[in-house]
Amino acid sequence: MTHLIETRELCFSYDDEENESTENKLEGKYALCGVNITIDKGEFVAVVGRNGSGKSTFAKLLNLVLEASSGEVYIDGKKVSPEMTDEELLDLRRRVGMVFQNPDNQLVATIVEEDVAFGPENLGIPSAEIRERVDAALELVGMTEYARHEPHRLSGGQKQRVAIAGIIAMMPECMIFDESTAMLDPSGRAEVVDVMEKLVREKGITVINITHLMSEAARADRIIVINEGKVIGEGTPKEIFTNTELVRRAGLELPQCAALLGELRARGVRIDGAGITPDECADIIIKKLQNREEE
Amino acid sequence: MNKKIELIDVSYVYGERTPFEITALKNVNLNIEAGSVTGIIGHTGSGKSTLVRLFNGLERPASGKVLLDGVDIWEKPKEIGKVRYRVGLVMQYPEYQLFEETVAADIAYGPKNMGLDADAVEERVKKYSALVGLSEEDLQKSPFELSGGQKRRAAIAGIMAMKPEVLVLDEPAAGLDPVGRNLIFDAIEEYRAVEGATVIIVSHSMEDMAARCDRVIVMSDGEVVADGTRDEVFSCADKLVSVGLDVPEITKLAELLASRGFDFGKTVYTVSDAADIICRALSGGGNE
Amino acid sequence: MKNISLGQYYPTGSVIHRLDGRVKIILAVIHIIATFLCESLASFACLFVGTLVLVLMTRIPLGVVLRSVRAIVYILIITFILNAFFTVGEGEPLFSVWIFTLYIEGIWNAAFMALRILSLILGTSIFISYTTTPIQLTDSIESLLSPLKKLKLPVHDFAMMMSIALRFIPTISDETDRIMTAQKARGADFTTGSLIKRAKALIPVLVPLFVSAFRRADELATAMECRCYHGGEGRTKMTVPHLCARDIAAVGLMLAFGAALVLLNRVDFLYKMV
Repeated sequence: MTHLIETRELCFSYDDEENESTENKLEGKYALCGVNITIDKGEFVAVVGRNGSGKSTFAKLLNLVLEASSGEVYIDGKKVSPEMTDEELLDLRRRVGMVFQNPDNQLVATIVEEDVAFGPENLGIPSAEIRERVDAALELVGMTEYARHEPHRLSGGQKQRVAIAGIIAMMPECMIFDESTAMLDPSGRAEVVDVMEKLVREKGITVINITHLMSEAARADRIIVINEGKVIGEGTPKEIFTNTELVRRAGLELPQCAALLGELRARGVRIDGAGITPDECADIIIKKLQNREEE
Repeated sequence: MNKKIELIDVSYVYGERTPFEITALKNVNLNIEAGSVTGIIGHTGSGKSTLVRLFNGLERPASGKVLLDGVDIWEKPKEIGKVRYRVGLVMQYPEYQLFEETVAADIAYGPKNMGLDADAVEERVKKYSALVGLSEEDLQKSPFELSGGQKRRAAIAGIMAMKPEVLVLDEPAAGLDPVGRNLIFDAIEEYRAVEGATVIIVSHSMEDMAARCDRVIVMSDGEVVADGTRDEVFSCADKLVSVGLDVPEITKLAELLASRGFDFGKTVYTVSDAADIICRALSGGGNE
Repeated sequence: MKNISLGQYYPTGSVIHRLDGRVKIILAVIHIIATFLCESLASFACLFVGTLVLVLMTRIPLGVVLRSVRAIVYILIITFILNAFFTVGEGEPLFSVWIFTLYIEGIWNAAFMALRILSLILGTSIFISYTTTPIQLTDSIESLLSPLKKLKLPVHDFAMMMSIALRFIPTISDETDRIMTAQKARGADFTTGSLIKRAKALIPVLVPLFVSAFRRADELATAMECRCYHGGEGRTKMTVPHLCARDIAAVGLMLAFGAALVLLNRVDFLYKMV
């Protein structure tokens, strides 16, 4: 079976990119080296790592915003390379959509629905169908009532939802969120992650969430941990959350409840199972306390 | 309580007498204790960003008074500039205000505006860049060559170099990873300890607030809805939830455990506190 | 600064607001031509009654419309004075002081010229600035200029640039406000001192603003490419504007109005321009 996304020995170094700004060079001083990852259709994957770990670089290589220095990327078995024809490149970008960090710098139109229509318009979709797609996309992200609003008057979370709708209207198979929640407040963050979940569960779209927040990564099916340009761990949220050492090595922090279980383990308390949410952790701790009483 | 800043019946209105009129603050009364670390939390649009701009006289209240050390800062409006040196404000994403050719020159901008002589300026640049963890080498670089976290710290050093008695920071850790965040908070704590300054932090992160602040003020819809010590504010979780905020995760866990028969006996905020109590319970010295 | 609304667009949902943008541009052009064709008191009177009816139809408060007139009041006065004294009439001058001589024709011509300017301002206000959103305007200009695409003129790119500019003006104006506040907190003073000192004080605002604008441009370009933007070729539009009966009727009526004004030029009542 072919995977939706497969990378083989993927490497990237910013020295090759003369056009990149200094900041990017610095962020990517670890670049990316020897990354082998497969992602299947319909998966919800979180790629986590600290600032400058290379997680964002990885995302940008998937839809050829950046060109790999060496190694290969395959989307649905098809090799991604700068030698692709213009049509192939457009098709790649349509299939692998991307939502960026700064909500202001990805909206092009002065009216919400016009912005959502931008992608399909570029693809040359007939007008009537664009209308349907735009309405459906706005509905999906819960922004229908703001269709005629100006983007600059929306909150950060709302702007990001409009940006998501703009990608959905192109009917992608996969959506990459490149630190799309980093500039949002907690409620905006929750809005965006809720939409991600909806995309995976209801629409079957593959979602890749690039983030440094473990609490967000917990909502994915699988977590890939990147540090200094290399994959240092991979597993389900429960597997990663119990591996306190791995998380620490990646320069990340667990949410408090999971951290508490880790701390207890470190102090020699035997904890069975893994907990991520406060409820799960409460279950584990209560069970432990009851066991002690029985002993 | 030794009041460093006091707000008496302060109201603030944006776009007065236009169709876009918005009341950002309504009859706000509050005190900031000298030498304390006070956290201000609230939803986006709750008025907290307006509030911090009132502390240093960037905005003038429509009515009411802002007192600094008991003196109305608007008593002599022409001297409001001096208040800005005494109450330093670090705005959100302060790295976007860097403009000089070198980091050193940028940090020197504030002290130079204060009219300090070259030697004093240089001394302050050295002292506060070191305090935020920038190296001598970093100082000679262009601000645009630094990483995101370093830029943020350079911008904060630029405010610290004015040696404000009160340091106000709006979301100082927004968008940073845990390592970057800890560097920032450690620098703030060190500044407070070294200068004996009063610190005010605005943040969305309940965990950070609980771990770093002595006092917490909760804003909602232009009004102060809670004001007290950390324990007082976080023990009324319902109130926080009702204004769209959360309590720290560990506090939530403590509540869940309490409802199932295990009481921590006090409000806990940090992982190690909670671990201590649980370990004690497990080893037999239970809290029940 | 917070609630800066771009241009003077004043939504009321009137008939004129709902006209097609291209039609409104055409109406504005007819109105301008009609204004210049007016030569008699009768046609000027008719022009102003007609324009006033249009103003009322927009349902925009008169006070708001007058605000745009207030801006040109000095131009009107200067035009009036120059025309009044530089017209040489046939009859006896009304009076003569030093090199200034005033004829009755001068007063009429001056009044007509001032009225023309007033009419131009009102016409563009009614059809364009108050009733057409900037984005509708850009789209309409692109549509009206589209025949020029055949001459290989980059009409689409121009329209795209305009629309991005419109999208980012509020964002960048907010950012300017934020940077100025941040520098004020570091003791910057933008309001006192000599002109040179004030200009210098702006450097700490302009540098970060430019840096940020370039960053935005860079990020926006990437985002646009990721959304499959590849120029105007093969591009479709979600809303293809269709002219409806209302639009055609409006152009017809406006043409008839213009023709009536020309006919009224023949009515020699009190005064006719020479």
